[in-house]
Amino acid sequence: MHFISILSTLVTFIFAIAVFERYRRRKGTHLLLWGIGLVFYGLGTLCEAITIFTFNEFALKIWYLSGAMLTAAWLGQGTVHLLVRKPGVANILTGILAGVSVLAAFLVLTAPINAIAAAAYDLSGPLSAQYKDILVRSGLITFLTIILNIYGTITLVGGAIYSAYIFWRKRILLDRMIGNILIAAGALMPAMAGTLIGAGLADFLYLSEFLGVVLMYIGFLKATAQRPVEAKQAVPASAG
Amino acid sequence: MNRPSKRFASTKWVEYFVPVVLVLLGLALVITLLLVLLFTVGPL
Repeated sequence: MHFISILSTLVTFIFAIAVFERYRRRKGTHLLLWGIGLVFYGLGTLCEAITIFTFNEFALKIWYLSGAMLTAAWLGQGTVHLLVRKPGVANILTGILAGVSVLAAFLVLTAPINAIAAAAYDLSGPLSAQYKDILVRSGLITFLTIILNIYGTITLVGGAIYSAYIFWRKRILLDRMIGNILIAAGALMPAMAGTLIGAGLADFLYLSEFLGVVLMYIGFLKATAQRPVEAKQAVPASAG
Repeated sequence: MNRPSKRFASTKWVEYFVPVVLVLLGLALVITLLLVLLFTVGPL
């Protein structure tokens, strides 16, 4: 099952390139932040893929930092920039998130490793089932992981549900409504599976990461699809 | 003046299915947040 993280990595980086490309063409801080969030997502699944073949302390730390701590928060921050209209609020929150992320990186990269547990690492088992014994996490790391995940899940999933609701209520932009529903469902999958590691269901994480990113990518494509009616409208606008 | 409408025709599907999906997603979000708390700082 954990071989699926190779596929997840491919899909995630293709998705990230699509988002960065859209940012290059249209600008918008939300796209830049979503792109950064997807790079963290991809780094997480890439480290999972690496640890299928060999155990590496640095890969474990990058996996925890990017996958468990930063991905949801940075993706959610993109949604905050999209939805929060009050001037300055989104930028202040981004500044706070950047500061917390630097602190998280310092804490995780300098965290001690349990050498005995690391030596006993089982390559046939998922990293998500073994990391707790290997990576010695301080209380502050655990606290930041909780805060970042709650913030990211509420903003990303809540924001997508809210957007879909607004489109539904106004009966406008059907594609964006469907796209946001898919994004919400996709983002929920790894978030929920991540919590189930605590219940001993570590295997589900890798599958949920794959299904989650595929759903979010389809949702993104759906939400950003150029409607034929808009293409027609663009002709006189650009000609004028 | 002649902007094309972004509105879509409301169907039974849109009328009843979408709100159910949104409510289910909302519930899933709440459950996920509760699980985060239970498995990290809670009794489980």
